[in-house]
Amino acid sequence: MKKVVSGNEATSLAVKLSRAQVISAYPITPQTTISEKLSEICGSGELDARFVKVESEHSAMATLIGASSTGVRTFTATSAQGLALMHELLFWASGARLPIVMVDVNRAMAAPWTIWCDQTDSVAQRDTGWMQFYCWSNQEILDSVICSFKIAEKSSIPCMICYDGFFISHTNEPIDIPEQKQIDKFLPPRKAEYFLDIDNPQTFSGGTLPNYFMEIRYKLHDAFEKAQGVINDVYDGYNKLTGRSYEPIEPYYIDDADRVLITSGSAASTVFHTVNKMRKSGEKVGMLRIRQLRPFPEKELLYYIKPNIKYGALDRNLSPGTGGVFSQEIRSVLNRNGNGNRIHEFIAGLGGRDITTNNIEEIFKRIGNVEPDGINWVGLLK
Amino acid sequence: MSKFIVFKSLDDMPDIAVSKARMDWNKTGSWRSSTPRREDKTPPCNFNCPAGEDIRGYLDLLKHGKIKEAFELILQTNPMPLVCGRVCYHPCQSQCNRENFDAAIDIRLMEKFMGEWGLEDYTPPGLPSPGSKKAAVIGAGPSGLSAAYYLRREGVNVTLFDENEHPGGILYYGIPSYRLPNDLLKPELDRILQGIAFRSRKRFGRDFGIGELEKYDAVFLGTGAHKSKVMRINGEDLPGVKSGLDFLKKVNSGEKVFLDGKDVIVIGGGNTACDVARTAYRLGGNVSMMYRRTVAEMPAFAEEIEQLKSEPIKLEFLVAPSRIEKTGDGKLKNLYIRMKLGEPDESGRSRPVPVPGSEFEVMADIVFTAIGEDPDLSFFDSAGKSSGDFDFASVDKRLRDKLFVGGDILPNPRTVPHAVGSGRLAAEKILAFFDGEKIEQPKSIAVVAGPDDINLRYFVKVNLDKRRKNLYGGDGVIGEAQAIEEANRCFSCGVCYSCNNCYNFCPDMAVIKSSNGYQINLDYCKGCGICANECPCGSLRMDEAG
Repeated sequence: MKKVVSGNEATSLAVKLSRAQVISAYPITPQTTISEKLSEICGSGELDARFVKVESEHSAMATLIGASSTGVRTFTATSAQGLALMHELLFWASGARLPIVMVDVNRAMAAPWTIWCDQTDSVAQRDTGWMQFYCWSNQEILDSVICSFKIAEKSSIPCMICYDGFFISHTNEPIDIPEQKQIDKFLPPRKAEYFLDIDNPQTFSGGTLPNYFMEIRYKLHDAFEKAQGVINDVYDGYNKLTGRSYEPIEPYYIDDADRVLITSGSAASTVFHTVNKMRKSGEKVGMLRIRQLRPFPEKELLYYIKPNIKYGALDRNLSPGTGGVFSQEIRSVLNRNGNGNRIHEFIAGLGGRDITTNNIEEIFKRIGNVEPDGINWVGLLK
Repeated sequence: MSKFIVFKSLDDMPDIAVSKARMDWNKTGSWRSSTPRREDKTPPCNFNCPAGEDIRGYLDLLKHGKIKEAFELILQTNPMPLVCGRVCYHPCQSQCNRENFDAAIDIRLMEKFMGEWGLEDYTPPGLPSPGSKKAAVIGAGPSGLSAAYYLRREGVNVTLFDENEHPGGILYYGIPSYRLPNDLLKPELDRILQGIAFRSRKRFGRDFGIGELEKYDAVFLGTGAHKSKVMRINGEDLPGVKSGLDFLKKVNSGEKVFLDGKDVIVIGGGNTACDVARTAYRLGGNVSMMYRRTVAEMPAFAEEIEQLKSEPIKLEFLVAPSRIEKTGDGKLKNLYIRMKLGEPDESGRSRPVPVPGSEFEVMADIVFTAIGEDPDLSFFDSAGKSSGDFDFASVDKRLRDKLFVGGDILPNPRTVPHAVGSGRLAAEKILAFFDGEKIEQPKSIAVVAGPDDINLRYFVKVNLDKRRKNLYGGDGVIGEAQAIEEANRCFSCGVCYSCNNCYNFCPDMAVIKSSNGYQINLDYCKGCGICANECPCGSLRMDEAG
């Protein structure tokens, strides 16, 4: 069924189709309309789930850790400071291998106070042991949320779906919504290996001495190493069902390109349009849209990085003192693999500032004309 | 006792830290020094209901939207919720533990709702066909109706006799229609009388006697108290001096009575006096009420006194009639004497004592006396003590052993719910009598749940303004949603309502849910007392005996 919905509505529809059983969330802009919609459909009985009202995002995540430990499918959504408030529990969720699915609607971290978009909130949670997917369309949100439940449950790793606040969360697009019975077949009820059961009492994630802690950590890391295989399998299955699929890195016009810009989120849409525009005037530009921060698609990136092509990375996030987080990841992959390419690094659109086609054209110009020279702040006041 | 598990390889290890052994060998119940005991107490509403209704029980069903089940639970003990929802003085409600929290549950409104629901939406199940046992019920007032109803439900062949044309007794002929309209009363009576043979205009002792009762295996006597007490003063048999109860009966029978512009005096301070005064006012009389004590000692229900006060009826307290004389123009000259309150009498109220030299005169057209009624047991040759317990010994031998009594003949408070309760109890006694058994009235050993038994932290105060609008905004007529909302406020005092708190809070998972409520697994209960502490309604108690 085709329907015009906002990014947040796409999330709610996906959660409903996935038959989440426990949902807990605390309102925060620009996520709020997700939890509002979900509480409505839980209240009306459209979705047979328990919506747990809580007094903070910390409690929301704690609630889901408890609920997920009983073997049920769980969901939450948050943004910015709300995500930061969950921080310590994000480690617990991944360490306990609970397949919680969360949407983070990207919003810049205060101070100064703001409600507008950038990705600093989610990239700051890079090391908490959650998978992270970045979407650029409402269709991709719906598909990613559904697939994430399956990916999370198969790999026992929690998943975070990230998309840009307002640019995507509050913008309407037509999407194709699968039938409930299709999804029921694709995503059967969760079967947990370990779950709280009063008839078989067990303690989970209790005190672990140095003799085994490292092994438990290794197993989480190992699961991440294997996760790309799980992700690919799930999307293959989804493709058979809906005809839609997603790659960890999605290339656009790169076969004959001399300049390629790597980016993520809604910025990729602007790059997409700018590439189309510049191609019309004969400029050989292309794009790599990166969908995953964790697991980081190392192999896939190396596959696309070719000698004699100039690369830039555009980040809508900042790790102060180092630069954009995607740029760091790309640098690190190239370095680790002895790839000689150096990349141009760009910071743009922090705190909701528009990234325009003019900005992108200038970025491509710079990639073509000068050698990589550290971090460039796009559109910064002189 | 400790044990180490050694993993030899990564593959040996689970993905998460998870206990591999169980602790159920450790029977922590042995640490216990006190034990939780499920011990339901009696909710104050149930305890105070003269009809013996399980009020908490039906509110609990109502809470869950089980209206039919709630209605049938009421019918277990009271066949006339519609009547009681209107005329009962609801001692249930005045003792409700919620009163001091925010406001008592309006139990009477709940019962009124249930009664009205029953008229419109309830189809009673079929009755068992009458068996070989026959019972005669004399008097179709509240006690007789109740006795007849509970006997018929059990398959007894019941014949109900009454001296009047219509069944209902005091409900039909005594209580004014502004309190209990006959068009509402009638369908409830029809439901009660299903399968019962009603013989109207049959007065025991006048139209039939003990001889006719021989064919019955049991006889219930519920003829009430209709004989107005006399004042023992000169002039009380003058033509303008009448029994208030007879006046009510006339009005309720549909007889036209005109009191336009007449000066009416009502003597008395009970419910009948109030009903007479208010009815006389409605018929156009200038009404004064004379009572020998003060408003504080009036035996009428508080609510009726409140309503009386809101009407233009003149109230004179601390006055007693001493003489009535007829004057030349046909009026009545009433002589009164002022009283003062003295030492308490046997009723516990202060005895009124005349103030010497305080006599005064009041003129009136009509005087209604309503100073109380006695049972009229003149159909027995010798029986009939007018006060105290019914004297079976003096009843004719042919009747004595199969005679059961109820209602206002008994020394109970004279209220509809007391009559209903005594009628039902008599029916139970008759059924036991048919089985060759005898029911002794059980000594009351009820432990009533008080406010201290309720864990108030589990209850939220209601917005009283909102509740008032919700419940009373529509002329006292409420719908299902409002009734359910009000029922949801019930504390369920002293009675487990399956809230799961004990089950959820027990740190040892020693509370087990079963089909008959919660059980404690004493193998693991450490006696911490959390379950009893977190029980919202006080139905769990810690027993120090361990």
